[in-house]
Amino acid sequence: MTLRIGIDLVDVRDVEDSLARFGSDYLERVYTAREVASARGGTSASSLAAFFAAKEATLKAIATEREGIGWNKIEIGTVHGRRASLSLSDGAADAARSAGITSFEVSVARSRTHASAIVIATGAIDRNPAGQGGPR
Amino acid sequence: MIKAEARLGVDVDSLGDDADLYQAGMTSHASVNLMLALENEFDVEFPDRMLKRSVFESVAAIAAALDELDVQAA
Repeated sequence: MTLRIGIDLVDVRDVEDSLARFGSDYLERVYTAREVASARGGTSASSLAAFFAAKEATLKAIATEREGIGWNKIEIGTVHGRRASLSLSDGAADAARSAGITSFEVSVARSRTHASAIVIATGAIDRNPAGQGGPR
Repeated sequence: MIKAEARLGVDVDSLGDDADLYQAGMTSHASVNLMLALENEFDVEFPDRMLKRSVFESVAAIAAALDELDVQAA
């Protein structure tokens, strides 16, 4: 059985800074259209920080150093309490498939200043045993 | 640019070209800013396949990536 975990912590001020300096470039490269809409049209730095933390946690769980994965190929869905849904496309979906990962559990936490997320990825077959994948 | 974007915990001028920027304090989110700044400065776009830790890991790695993009644009 495959079991992988990823975790990430984001400072909301960093997201505010990115929005101020890079604007739509930042939003388009990192987030999906649904995520931007969910984050009050891209104005809620706190929501975006939570999405980014979940994306990075997911990448840490599924990625290897063989191929990069765009942040906007991971979409974080509606957050119900502390749990969130997750969907993958393109390279992210390929990486998960290659690793034999078939399901995810995502949990996020937010404060006024920070957002964090933890992702547990599981699958039936471990196609990339520990030590063969690189950290992100 | 690395000094402005990477938010390192140390003086970037004290780091060698092969020094690990993540170990020096660059976060995953800071690497986004660094990528966007590099794209604006050099008028390139990092394709998804290059959005991995090793590409932004050091000054030398970043320089090599920019060289690769320049070659593709030529």
